[in-house]
Amino acid sequence: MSSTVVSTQQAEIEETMKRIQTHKGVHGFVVMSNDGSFVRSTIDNSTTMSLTGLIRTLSDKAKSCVRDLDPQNDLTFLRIRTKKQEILVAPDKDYLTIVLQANEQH
Amino acid sequence: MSCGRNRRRSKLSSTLHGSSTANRQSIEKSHQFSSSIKSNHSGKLLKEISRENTTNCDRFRVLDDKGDDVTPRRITDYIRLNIKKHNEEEKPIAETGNTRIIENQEKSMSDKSIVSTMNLTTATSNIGRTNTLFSVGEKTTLDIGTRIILESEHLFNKTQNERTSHNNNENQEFQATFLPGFGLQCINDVLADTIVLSETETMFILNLNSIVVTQNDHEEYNRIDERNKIYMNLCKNQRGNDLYIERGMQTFNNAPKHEHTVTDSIFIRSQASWANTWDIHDSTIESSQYEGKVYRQYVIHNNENLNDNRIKFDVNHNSNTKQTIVSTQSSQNSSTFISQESLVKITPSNTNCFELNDNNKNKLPDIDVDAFIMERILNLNIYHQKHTVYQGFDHQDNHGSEYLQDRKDSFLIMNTNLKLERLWQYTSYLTHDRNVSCLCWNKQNHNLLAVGYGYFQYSDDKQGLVCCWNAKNLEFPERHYQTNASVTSLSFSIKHPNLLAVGLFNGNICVFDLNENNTFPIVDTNKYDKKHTNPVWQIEWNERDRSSEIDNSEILISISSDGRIIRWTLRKEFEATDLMHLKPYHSLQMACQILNNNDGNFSNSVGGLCFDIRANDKTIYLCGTDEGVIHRCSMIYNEKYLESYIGHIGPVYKVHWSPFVENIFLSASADWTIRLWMIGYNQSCMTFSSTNSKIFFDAIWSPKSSTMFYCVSENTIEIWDLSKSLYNVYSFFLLFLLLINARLDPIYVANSPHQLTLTSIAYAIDSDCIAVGTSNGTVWIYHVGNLSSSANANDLLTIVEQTLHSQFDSSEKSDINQELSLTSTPSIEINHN
Repeated sequence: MSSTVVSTQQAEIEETMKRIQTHKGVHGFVVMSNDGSFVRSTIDNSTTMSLTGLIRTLSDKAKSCVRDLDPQNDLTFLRIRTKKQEILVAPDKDYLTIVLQANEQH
Repeated sequence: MSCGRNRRRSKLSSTLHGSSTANRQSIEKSHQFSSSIKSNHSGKLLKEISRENTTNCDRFRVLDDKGDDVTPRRITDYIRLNIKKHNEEEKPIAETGNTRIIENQEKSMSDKSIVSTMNLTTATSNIGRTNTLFSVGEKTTLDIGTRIILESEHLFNKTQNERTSHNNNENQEFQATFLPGFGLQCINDVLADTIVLSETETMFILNLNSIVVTQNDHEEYNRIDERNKIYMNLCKNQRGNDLYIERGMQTFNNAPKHEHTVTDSIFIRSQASWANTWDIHDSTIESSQYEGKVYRQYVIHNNENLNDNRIKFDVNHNSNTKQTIVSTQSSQNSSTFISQESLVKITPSNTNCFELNDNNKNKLPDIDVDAFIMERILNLNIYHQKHTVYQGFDHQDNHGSEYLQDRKDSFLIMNTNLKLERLWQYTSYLTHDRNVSCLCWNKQNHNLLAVGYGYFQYSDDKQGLVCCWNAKNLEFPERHYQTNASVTSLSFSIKHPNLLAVGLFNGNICVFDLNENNTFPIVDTNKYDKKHTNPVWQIEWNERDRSSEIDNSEILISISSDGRIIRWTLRKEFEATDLMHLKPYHSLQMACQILNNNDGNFSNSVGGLCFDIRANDKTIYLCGTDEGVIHRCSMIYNEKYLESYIGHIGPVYKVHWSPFVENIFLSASADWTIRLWMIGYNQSCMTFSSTNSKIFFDAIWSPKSSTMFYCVSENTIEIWDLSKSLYNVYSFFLLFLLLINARLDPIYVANSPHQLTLTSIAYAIDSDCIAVGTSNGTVWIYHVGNLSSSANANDLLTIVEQTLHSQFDSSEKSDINQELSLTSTPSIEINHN
């Protein structure tokens, strides 16, 4: 029973990931694990490597900052809005998810 | 052991005893001496006694192996010198006399102590030579050895004196006996006896060899094994046992000395890390939970990290970024590793229904949470403006107008500023080409909309779908459940907002739990024999109002085309009680006809299509039937209706009580009309229809204004406002005129997008938005903007009463119509798309 639950969860996660990738405005999508290996990436390899290295540093720093202020608090999400795009970072204890989305112009 | 000591003592006494009777019983002595091998005293005695045979005190010489003279010098040599000095002074006569006395006494020696002997001698001797040596009082200060020597000194003197008178023959009687233990050899040399010391052969007193037995030799092995076990038991039993006493012994501590060894060189590296506030916090929490294990784990992880570092440094093809990743990791390893349990799982903000259960059984990492949040954020980015509109934040007007001009989604009509702005649609591949049959907002989470997909008529497509959409994620439903028949009605529970009751086309009712996605219903009426046999057209949760019931649980009420209204209680399984059997309504004339004709062809049941429970009195409810009659019934009394309302000529699809006025309700019917009713009048107060409206599938009151209601017909969304419509035309003196020419308009009409059939409508709970379901599976969210000041209950009442008055007035005037029905055409109609 638990294995079926796990597999359905797996399927749902896959589906969600697929939806994110095909979402409006999304340029790139990267999921990497904590030890540096990549789970998924839609960007070319060199960009992915540099992106993840830098983003991880920044995300760790942000997390450290948040938790220094209040140790019981934790970083849920990080958004960096730049001129060209928006970088969305979702850190986790096992994974780090990064999505690049184009800025909406209204 | 004490007995051992006793033995030793007895040995001593035996030697003493032996010494006193030495000259008589040499053979006995030998036995005694052999029994005490290691006694020094006996050795000395032996020498002494051997010397008794000599006249010369230097007769014996002790030689060791090498021939050295190791004759021990006696202590009493010094004493003898003194004695001799003394003796020279004394008279020889007394001496001889004394010796005789001594001899006599010696002969009659009994088991007296040496001291007593000495005493006797001192007592009897006149010489008192011993006085100089010791006195009576001093006897205790002498040790045994000295006493023996002195005692034998007497013997020696005695024998010396004797020997002076005896001839040498007697001397030879007292030859030293040979004792094999000592290895003394007494040479039969009269002049000189040499004692040679040599080492004896090793004598084994006790030799316990350890036995080594192979396991093949079973007998021996078992025997020895048993003995081992016995011994072990003995060791175990030693503690606490009175038979065993532990004794300590002092050992020598040897002087330590330094010893140098050679080892491999120790690899030293320095490592620094931050101790942040949260790091300390995490560590304290971890240590309180695990109490010691954490350090071990930490160390192991550290080692892993170090190993990784070393390996990675060795390998050459590392890019810079990878190294930086590793380095940050090692400095932050505490954050990623130790804070396992203390990292709170992320839950989406305001949905209690979707609390991700953080039980430890969940083996998967939290990637699903990340993806979930990511999706929402993405949606937020794109639909941000629409969300603000949804929440009711006013946009700047220039924005709004631009939006209008660009999209042409909204309409302005007539003399109102009301505009309906299409915000978004809920659609996905799941819902493609399905008919939306019902909508329901969640009572607790106001963003959540449950949509049921199913056909109103019987179709071959047997599958039904229920989707729960969230305003935060417009692309995909949060939850979706498959059912085995078309869904015809939905309802969220009030008490447990995660329970969703679904009524199906085949008469079944299921209840889903929203905590899990895409699962089977938790309860089902499939096997229940009292279930509905026709589609369940409406289903509602109701709280039990009675105070007598201790268990204030919720009950489920359902109505179906088979003419029954059933109340379900949900414990382990469904349990049902019939609330009402709908019977066909016949007027009095017809009833008589039936009785007269006795045809029996009339079906005795009529199908129920909708019901609504009164808000303030939970026992009263309305139900609409498919013959066009609306009944007001009570839950307590299920025999007859309280009141019936006739007017509709087609099936009544929906009835709704007014949220403002208790006695007024609205009904939408397939006869192209919507009627307003009031309790007490079994004929409708007002009727609404418009030229472009066809079947009204649904009509709902506006929760904001008492005189407004929204309805959806096949192709249009219509907003009616009684106060607006009538206000313009209402005037007393024009009443008559108006009665004929007055128009009752919907103040707003919106055509359905893409010319689809609109099937259901629902008003959002905390937002000025309505959700409209279409026949191709999409649900459109419209925002109603620029609502004018809302009317209160009194307004509605006055309007209705005035209309009623006018009804009665007009009924006097016109014979044809008993009820006032006004048709109208909307003045402006904008087509789009």
